[in-house]
Amino acid sequence: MAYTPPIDEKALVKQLQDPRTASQAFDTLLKTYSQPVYWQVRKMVVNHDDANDLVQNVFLKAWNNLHNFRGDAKLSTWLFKIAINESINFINKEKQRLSISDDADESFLLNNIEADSYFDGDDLHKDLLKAVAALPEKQKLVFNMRYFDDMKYEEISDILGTSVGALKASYHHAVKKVSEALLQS
Amino acid sequence: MRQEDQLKEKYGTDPGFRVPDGYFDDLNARIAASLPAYPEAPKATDMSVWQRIKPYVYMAAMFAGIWLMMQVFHNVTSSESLSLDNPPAAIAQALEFDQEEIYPYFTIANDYELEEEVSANYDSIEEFEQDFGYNLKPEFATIEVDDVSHNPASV
Repeated sequence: MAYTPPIDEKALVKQLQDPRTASQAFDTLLKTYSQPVYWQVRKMVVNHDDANDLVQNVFLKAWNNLHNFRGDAKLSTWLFKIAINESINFINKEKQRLSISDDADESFLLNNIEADSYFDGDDLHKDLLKAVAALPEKQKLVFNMRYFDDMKYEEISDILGTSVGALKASYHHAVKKVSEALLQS
Repeated sequence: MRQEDQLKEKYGTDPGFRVPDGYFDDLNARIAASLPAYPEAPKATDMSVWQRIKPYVYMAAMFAGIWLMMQVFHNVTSSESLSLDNPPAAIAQALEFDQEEIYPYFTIANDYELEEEVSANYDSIEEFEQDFGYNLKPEFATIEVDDVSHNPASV
């Protein structure tokens, strides 16, 4: 789900930073970005209710920090960064809450996937998600953005602050690990 | 066939997640309705402890990186070839450290976790300054070091 915003970003940023037009401009921001941000978060935390809470936090934080957004990066990049930080923070807190080691992978997020009424994947989907959840954090992020969303490496590089070369290597390793876990089993 | 193509052929690219009908319209309305008044840019004196120290933390990380790089270049000898397949191992080799010793230094110090840690332990900049023996000038706190800085206390 590569995303190209159908909006004039510069004009929108200007409106967002003017208290008189910010509210209306934020509606446009929500309409444009709530879906891609939600799906990004959902792929990280799996459960719909958790993703729902986190997306609301992401946009609340964006609203509270509009004065910090200077327009150097794209709005989508800025929002994805906040979303990834929120999701990682949530996952770390869940690990603490469930007494799971910090070093453990994130397959615990899939433990109750059958109970999530908004998951209608089959066994193949579950196997794929389990293999992805076992990846190291960075490889998981790159895999989600590239494999599921077909995002360009340049865009992922802006969001994760990692060079395109390093991302290509991460994706290569991630695909290899997922393939080995799935195709050779 | 490439591994990626094999995966896509067998598993597809839909992770199987769904949302309730009309979810995004409802989500946008709920978020818009929950927004507080338009936030004013905080003055240096209103900033959280983390916001005040962040420029210093980032600068310290930069100098630590430069120091490590200089150590690596200083210790690399022309007779040893370094493999970059495993950067921590290569750096450990260059520094003549045990790999086990150097891996902890490659733990990603997520600034978000650092922020949580600082926010949880310090209520005021004075406490932080006293613990570390620093005097952090308020004017430097207004330097913007990235685009996602925020005050968790305000959320």
